Amino acid sequence: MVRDFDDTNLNRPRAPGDGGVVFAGGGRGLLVVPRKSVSATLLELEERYRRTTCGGQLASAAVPYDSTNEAASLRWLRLRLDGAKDSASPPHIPVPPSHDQRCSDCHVRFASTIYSGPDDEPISACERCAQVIQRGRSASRVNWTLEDLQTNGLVAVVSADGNNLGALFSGIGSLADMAVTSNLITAVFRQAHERALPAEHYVDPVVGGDDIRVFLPPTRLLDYITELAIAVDELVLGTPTDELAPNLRDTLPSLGIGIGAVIAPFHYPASRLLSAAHALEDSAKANCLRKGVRSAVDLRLIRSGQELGQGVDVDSEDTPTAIALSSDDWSRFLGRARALVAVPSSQRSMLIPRGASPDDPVRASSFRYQVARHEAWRKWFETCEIDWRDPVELARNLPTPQLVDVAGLIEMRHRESAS
Amino acid sequence: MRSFDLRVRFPTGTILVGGHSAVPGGVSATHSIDHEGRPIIPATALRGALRETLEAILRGVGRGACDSGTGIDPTQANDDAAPRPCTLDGGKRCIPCRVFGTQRTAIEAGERTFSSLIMGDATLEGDDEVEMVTRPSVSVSRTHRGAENQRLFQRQSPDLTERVLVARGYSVDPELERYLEAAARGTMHLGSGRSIGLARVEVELVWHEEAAHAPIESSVPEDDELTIQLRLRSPTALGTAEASSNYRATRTEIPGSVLRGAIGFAIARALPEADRDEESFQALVDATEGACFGFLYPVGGRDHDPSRIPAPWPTTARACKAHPSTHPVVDTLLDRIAVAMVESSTQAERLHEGALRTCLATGCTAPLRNPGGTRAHWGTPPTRVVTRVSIERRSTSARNEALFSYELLEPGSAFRGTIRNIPPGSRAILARALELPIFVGRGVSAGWGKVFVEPAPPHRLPPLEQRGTDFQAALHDRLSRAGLPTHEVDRLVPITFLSPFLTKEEETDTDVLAAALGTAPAWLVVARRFTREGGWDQRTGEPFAELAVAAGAVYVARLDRPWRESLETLQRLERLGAGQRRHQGFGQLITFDPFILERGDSP
Repeated sequence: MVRDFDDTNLNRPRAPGDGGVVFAGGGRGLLVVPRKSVSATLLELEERYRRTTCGGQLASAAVPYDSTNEAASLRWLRLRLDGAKDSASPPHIPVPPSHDQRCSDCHVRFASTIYSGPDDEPISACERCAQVIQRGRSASRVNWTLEDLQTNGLVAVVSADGNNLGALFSGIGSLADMAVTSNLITAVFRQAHERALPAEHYVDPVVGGDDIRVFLPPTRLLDYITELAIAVDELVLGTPTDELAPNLRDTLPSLGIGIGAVIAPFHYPASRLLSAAHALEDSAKANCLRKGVRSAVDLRLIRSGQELGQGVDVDSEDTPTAIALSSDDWSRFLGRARALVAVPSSQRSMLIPRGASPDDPVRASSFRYQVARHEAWRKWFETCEIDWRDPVELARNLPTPQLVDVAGLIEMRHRESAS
Repeated sequence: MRSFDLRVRFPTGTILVGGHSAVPGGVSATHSIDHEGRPIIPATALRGALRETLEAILRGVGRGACDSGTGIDPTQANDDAAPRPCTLDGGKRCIPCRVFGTQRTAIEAGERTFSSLIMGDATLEGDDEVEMVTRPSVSVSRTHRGAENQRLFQRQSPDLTERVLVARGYSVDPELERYLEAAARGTMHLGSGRSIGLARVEVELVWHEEAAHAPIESSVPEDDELTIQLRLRSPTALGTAEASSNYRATRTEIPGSVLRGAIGFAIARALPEADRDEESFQALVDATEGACFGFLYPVGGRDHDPSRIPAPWPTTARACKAHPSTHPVVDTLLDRIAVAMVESSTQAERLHEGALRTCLATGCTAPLRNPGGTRAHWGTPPTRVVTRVSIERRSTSARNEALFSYELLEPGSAFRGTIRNIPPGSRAILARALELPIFVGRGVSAGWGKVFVEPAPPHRLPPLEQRGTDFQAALHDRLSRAGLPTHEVDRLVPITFLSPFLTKEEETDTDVLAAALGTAPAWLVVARRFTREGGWDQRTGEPFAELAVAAGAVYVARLDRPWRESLETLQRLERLGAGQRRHQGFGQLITFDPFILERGDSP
């Protein structure tokens, strides 16, 4: 729906003197219009967005364009836009008073239409949900259900967003730079995403601007994350810079990506899984800011009973869980996870927290005993160059639940390849 | 009401009630634990087991008893398995329905709860830790005498040898107490694994003697405002405006309507019929002249700043993206006012240089974003999701469309708010009500929502005139540095909503505020988001929902005269609030919020 809005902005014919589009994509855009048309244009944009998205709100702002000081005009526009979302008109979505009148899908809007469910059963829905369902079913590019993507009942969800875009855009001094930068961002992330995708079996409901949301088979997740980060780096560093403005040339190499990923049973509410993945994306991005790295990932396996919980524990200064992608950290992490596959899964599962404190001395002692009697554990610590005989070193380097989960994913991939 | 303890012992040393807590990796099923990892028996499981026993006893003596509150008589052939109102006891609800509740959406006139039994989870007596033991079980193939493929299960259950779990509760109907006793005596099994000895229990019901009502302390408020702190004693579920068919999220603040209703129910349960009509009680809850029961917001937690108002952040607040919990939260309203006054790109450029865009904590240049949590609490209070299912008696399997997940606030969280405009004659009854057992939200019959209420020190703001002077000076300084005109700073009034703001459908938010101000100001800044307010009305059995301006909304009015000439109007606005349903805490606001001046290290 948002893409339809963008396409209309880009393709609608304009008479000479009616202005033009600097860029349009991902529900964002920059237009230049005659001063006398400003109010009408803003109104038309808001109404069309509301109509196209069945009630969505568009935040918009306008400032006079000073061709002798483009940079100042753009900064003025940015200042105005910062507060525009908060002053937008109320949503035009009537609130149905009773549950019976609500859409079966979103449970928020009035059910105004009926569409056929998977078994041809009638489902009452609002206009927006019905349209979204119809578009999904008729999409020619991807048409998989989450059940098609599952392996051993699990599916992976990724939410990713560009890093350091603020620095990139803050140096923009002209409309031309704005257009170049916006189109460059869109191209980099779209191409990186398409390079990282598996050949088949994926659903990517959101790919626009620097935002990516994709559902994948869990056995493809690690490759996707690795390839996505590498592709962003290569595309950024491979962008010809001769014709770029100096500001853009200097800040472009700082462009990176923050990735959040969740692995969960495929029948869990997809919207909640997307929220969890988004929270991990935020976690990864905060980690990038704290550590000064371009790209990072944070991922979790959601177990039975956790699927609708408060939310996933995210990276923090006290409990860092995100892993930098633009350094050796990620490859070292994957190496440790691959080595952990050699340890039997029943042994690995004892590292998953079960309510007792991870610092519980009884638990630590029990683990040291297991290490001492199982060669697989000893080999793992040796592979990781950790002296397992030293209790302090051992306690400090216990495999994290995250590492154990990733080892499980790698093991799943091995079994899939073997079958 | 008569209180009791239900004491549960375990002759086989363990129990397994699953479906309540996350299952660790490598384990097939695990027993229910609370937020501290200690084993519990969920109230719903206890009630289910007691109910099953009582139903069997009553059917055995020829009394009608429906199946789990569905209104269906399991001794009769039923073509239609749809739940219906229970009428199996001579046309009335059967005894188990009266004790344990039935599938209905509203309570009847004169009732205060959905069942006569109010009982929480059974929790561990004593502080000693309990070991969780993992027991493997395997299915053996009869043909090859080896383990069946994929039939090895690991079940994790607590070692409860010599331990007791105790559920505390109340019975609100004396006539039904003996049935509860019969159910307790007759309950021998609870949870799963009956055939392998995991489910054997011994249940003892111990009644408490009625405690003399504690004398009213000096918590009677001396003026018309009382600040209270409410601490959750049991898991709590507060209804939201949106709910899917089988998942119920919870709010993370306590609406004034919930507190008002809870106090009303507490008084009605505790007072004799005649006293409920007493003038002081009616005056307290009158929708127009009665007290305003404010929203209660989380307080405490890590890095809690007791100097902050317990209220949501203003829409204009921003936090460091890299260190949101440790670097100071700042406000951007002064910048927004300045932006609204810009009339040229040159002015914009100068303003841009000094605008708050990145964190100004020493050594940090991270971008800013919306802060999480509220002013007096970092993050959201801890919650957990529990999934419960109704078991159909005949098939002993899950009843169709009877699987529900509830998000619950964990016990221990504290919330603070204010009850304002308390009529003088109602102060004593309010103080008495706050000492009664109070339950908020849904699931009261399962012991959810039990709270402890105590008076809290009021949050005293500087006088309005002082706040206005400070704001005016700060704004003058900001505009001067940006080279913007300052001649109107004495006419600007920022209004910040501390709770959601409701208007009639035909009114706009700015129209309502203008009417409250008694003038038609220009609105220099409007910074607000919208949300849905609503929940479930237990009396009507119907949900309700309406669009509201979310708490934290900020409006800056440009008056037609200096604000000092409107002091009385502004004070009245702060005292009474704005918009609809103010007696339920909506529309509470302050002018010249001191937080506006918090701009980190920004000059």
